[in-house]
Amino acid sequence: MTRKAAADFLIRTVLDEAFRELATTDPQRAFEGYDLSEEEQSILRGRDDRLLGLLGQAVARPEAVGEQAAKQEPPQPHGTPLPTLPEVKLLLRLAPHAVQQPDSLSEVAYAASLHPWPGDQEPKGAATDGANQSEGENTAAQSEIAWVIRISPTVVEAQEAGLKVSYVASIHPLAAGEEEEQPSAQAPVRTLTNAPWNHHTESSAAKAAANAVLAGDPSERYQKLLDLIQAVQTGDHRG
Amino acid sequence: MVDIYIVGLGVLNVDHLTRETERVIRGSKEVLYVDTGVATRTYLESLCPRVTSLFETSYEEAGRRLNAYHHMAARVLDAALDHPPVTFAMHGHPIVGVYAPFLIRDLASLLSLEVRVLPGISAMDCLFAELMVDPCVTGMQMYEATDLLLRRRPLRSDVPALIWQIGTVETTLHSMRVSRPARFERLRTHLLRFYPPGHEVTAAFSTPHPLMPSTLHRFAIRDICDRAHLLHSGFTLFIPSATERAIEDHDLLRRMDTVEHLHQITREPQER
Repeated sequence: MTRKAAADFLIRTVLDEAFRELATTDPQRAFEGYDLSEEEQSILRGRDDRLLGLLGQAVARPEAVGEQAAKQEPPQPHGTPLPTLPEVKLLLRLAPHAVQQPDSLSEVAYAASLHPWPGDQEPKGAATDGANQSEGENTAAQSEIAWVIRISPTVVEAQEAGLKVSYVASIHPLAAGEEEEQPSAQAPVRTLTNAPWNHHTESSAAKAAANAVLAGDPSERYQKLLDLIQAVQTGDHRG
Repeated sequence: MVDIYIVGLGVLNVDHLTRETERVIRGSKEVLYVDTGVATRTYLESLCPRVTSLFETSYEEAGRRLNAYHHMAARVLDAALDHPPVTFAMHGHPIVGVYAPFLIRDLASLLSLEVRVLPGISAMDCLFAELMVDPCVTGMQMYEATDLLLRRRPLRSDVPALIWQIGTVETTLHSMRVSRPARFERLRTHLLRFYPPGHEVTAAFSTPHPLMPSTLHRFAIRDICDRAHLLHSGFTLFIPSATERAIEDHDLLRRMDTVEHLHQITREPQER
């Protein structure tokens, strides 16, 4: 098998600039001293996509990837992932209308209605129905305001009794004709898909897990570090 | 005193390492790396007495990439607590498309470890050079392929788009399997909401080896599924703009070449 020769050849072309030049300008001379098969020589001469396969074989050689270190590696983490819950999105419509008062001054009142998020199809027209208005009200020209309410649940702990869920809610206006709603600066939207980046480093569980790493035996540190990762991701230390 | 350096090895094997990165690796007690470059290990061994590859122990076929990142973070922190300073080195840029550095940074703060991140050459840098794309001219929008679909992010057809990791689209699991055409149907449908079917895009794979040229596949968006077998995990998709956006601020257009305006928006160095 000549795979080692091909790997050595490829490594040298990376590390030895003069040899790289030779392999490019006069590959046949560069092949001298390397026990390369006809196919390998053809690939190295062609310098096309097939080289990727040869590189893959070269990297797969145990000596090329440090087989000793690999054998001594600690086991891989395979914790049970916490379930995820979908974000809830609602549409709040506020429809102002003028109410005629006895002293002839008018006041503005609002008819509010809450709707499921319409998805891709933006609801058209006022959502204020007659039931929301008092009799005798004199409805003036309406200028409806729409708000988006987002409720993002995050499962922080899975117990036998059920899930412990925390919620982050935000509300912000939906501008008329706007394709994408603008997130509120006061209440940043936290969604499940970027949950791994929300590390609960300030939680007491995380601090306890960190202390366990620092105080523990070095031989157990890898596992305790995995426990710490679990703790900062869920806010709970279950190590 | 830095305990953990997080560095990028660049894309082209060894040649893309910066002198800054080489210097910190030389000063480290151990370098732990995730890179499948054929000469990476040999080269790192010439810089550092202890070199550990994390790729083989991190990834497994159909395993969650998140688990791989947890493993990397735990191994790097373990080494840093034992014999600092250590370097965590990975392919490309260390902050682009890798979660482990963020985890390491946050856990390090809990463990009183100092972390420093150094930039590396990413696939985006290579793509700019290979396609002669200047993001300052027409702007650039970029999204990760699966995230693009998950959120159904709108694309602006007047701004070039760069879609990362199209070869791994639609899964969080690691795999070396070859893609089926069906993998790209959802992506094609989404892109066709914003671009004409015949709009030509380029899938780019920057070469990791000096003997091999970079691979550029050019095809119409409607044909992306037919290229499925070619689009492995190293590909990035570049979508040139399909329309042009007209200038709206004609006042600024008129002023931007005048000295008068320059003096209005700047002051003499000695002025207060």
